[in-house]
Amino acid sequence: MTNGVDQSRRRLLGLAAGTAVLSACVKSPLPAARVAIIGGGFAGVTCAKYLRRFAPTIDISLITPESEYFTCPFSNTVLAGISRLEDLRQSYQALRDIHGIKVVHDRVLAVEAVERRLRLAGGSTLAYDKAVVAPGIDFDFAAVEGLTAENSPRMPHAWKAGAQTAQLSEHIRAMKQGGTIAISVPPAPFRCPPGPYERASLIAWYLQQHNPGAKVLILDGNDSFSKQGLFTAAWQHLFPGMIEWIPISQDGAVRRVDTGRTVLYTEIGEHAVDVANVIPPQRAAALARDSGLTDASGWCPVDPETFASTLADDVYVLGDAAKVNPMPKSASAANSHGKQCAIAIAAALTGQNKPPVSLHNTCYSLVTPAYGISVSAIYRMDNGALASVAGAGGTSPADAAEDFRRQEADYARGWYASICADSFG
Amino acid sequence: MAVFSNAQALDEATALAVNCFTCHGPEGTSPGEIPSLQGKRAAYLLEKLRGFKSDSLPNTVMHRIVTGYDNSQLEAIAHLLGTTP
Ligand SMILES: Cc1cc2nc3c(=O)[nH]c(=O)nc-3n(C[C@H](O)[C@H](O)[C@H](O)COP(=O)(O)OP(=O)(O)OC[C@H]3O[C@@H](n4cnc5c(N)ncnc54)[C@H](O)[C@@H]3O)c2cc1C
Repeated sequence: MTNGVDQSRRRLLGLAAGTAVLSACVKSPLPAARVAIIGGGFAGVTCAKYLRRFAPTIDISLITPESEYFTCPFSNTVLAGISRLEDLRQSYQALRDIHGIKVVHDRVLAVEAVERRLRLAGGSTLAYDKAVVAPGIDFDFAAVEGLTAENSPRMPHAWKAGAQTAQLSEHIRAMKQGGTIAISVPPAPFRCPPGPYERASLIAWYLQQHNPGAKVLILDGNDSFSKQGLFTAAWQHLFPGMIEWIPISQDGAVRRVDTGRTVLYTEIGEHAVDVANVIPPQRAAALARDSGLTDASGWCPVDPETFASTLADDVYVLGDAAKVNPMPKSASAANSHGKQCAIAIAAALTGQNKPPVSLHNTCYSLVTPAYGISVSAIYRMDNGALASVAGAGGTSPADAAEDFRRQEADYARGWYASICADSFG
Repeated sequence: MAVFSNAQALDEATALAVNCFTCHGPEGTSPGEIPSLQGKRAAYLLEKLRGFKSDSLPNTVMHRIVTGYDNSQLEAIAHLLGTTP
């Protein structure tokens, strides 16, 4: 590992590999250190942008398959008809044109950590000094009997924003009057812990206006959920009788599906519904697994001080793919990872001391467009492990007045505008 | 916020302050409903941060966030983000 760092540092400082530090006066400029960032989601783009600011002269590439990105944050508002899929679109133009990042639209097949190179689907290879792996999640369709990647659009997960967001939205609009929409929640950990319950809320808000008498049924692979007290109280107040939640201990976990007849089977029960939103169990994206960066949990272990993989040298893993307990898998967390990893890499490449890692997460959920709630935490290292700072963070108060909820709904929209600008702008 | 125009010092103030931009926008310039930090004096920002910490200023989430930092960290953040004098 030290060897790699030394070599990258020499590159950055313009030193030939193998020359002594004293030869820093060599005239010919040598190539800058190369950092390859894989995955153009919140984690990858934030890391690229902030690495540029901390290390202005290095060579930064971002490899991501698509030329545009649709954010999962605020995709539940599309289901409720508050925004359009179009509104979620982000581009890589600012990264390329303003921040001098080489944006490559290709899929990485493997990170070959020993050779320090990437193998791309397009056939080429890309050599690096440091690789940042931020490919997000994959779905484990096989964990739900009868569900496959191919038939999933019939019970859209809409847990990666894009085509399935539009499909689920259409299913909701086409549902018969008084019908039932089921949301199947996978066992934790999954991307965006409050997401399924924000979704239930916003769908209920939509149904209340367009399909009164319709219901939302949450079939849950867990026994508790994020901001549970706040959500439950809001549902009773705003949507009485519309949302039913069945936890795993009451046979809520979906084990099998019949996508043709829209039936969800639990251990002993069966639910014939009109629209099914089946969110499959999750794990780190295939690239992380194929490159040997995951452990038995299916996620990537990292040192939270730097985000360095504990399984490969000169490889860092960020965002949803990484196991950064106790942080939730969120865009807010991914943005924070990206910045702190950029600091760690810049420090390693320039031989500077790294300040202690400081991480943050704030997740807003909309219950209605005028009713927002939040959960927040600050994280730092404590005895060699990442921990949330005691006494800080937590959820919005249970007894808040209406204008407090309205202000948090405004701040939810403000958060979305800010994080998109901070990450992609 | 000229501090952020060139290669930036890799110090604790930076590691703390970049977290602000997630919600307050790049360089503290908010494009939406969350207040901007841009162009605010350091003393003003520190007064706000302290007021949130003691919960003597009205807020929604800032008390919960600011409680996660000690007073010297709040000073470092205010000085890095704020303008002087
Ligand atoms: C409905 C919903 C609502 C949400 N709301 C919020 C919210 O309000 N607030 C919040 O903080 N979070 C929210 N989230 C969570 C948030 O979307 C994720 O935590 C965040 O997207 C994680 O970012 P990431 O960069 O790790 O992964 P992603 O955003 O998934 O990005 C990964 C990128 O890597 C690319 N990639 C994958 N494999 C490869 C490969 N082999 N080669 C190259 N590129 C590859 C992908 O194409 C993708 O562009 C929500 C999620 C959902 C589903």
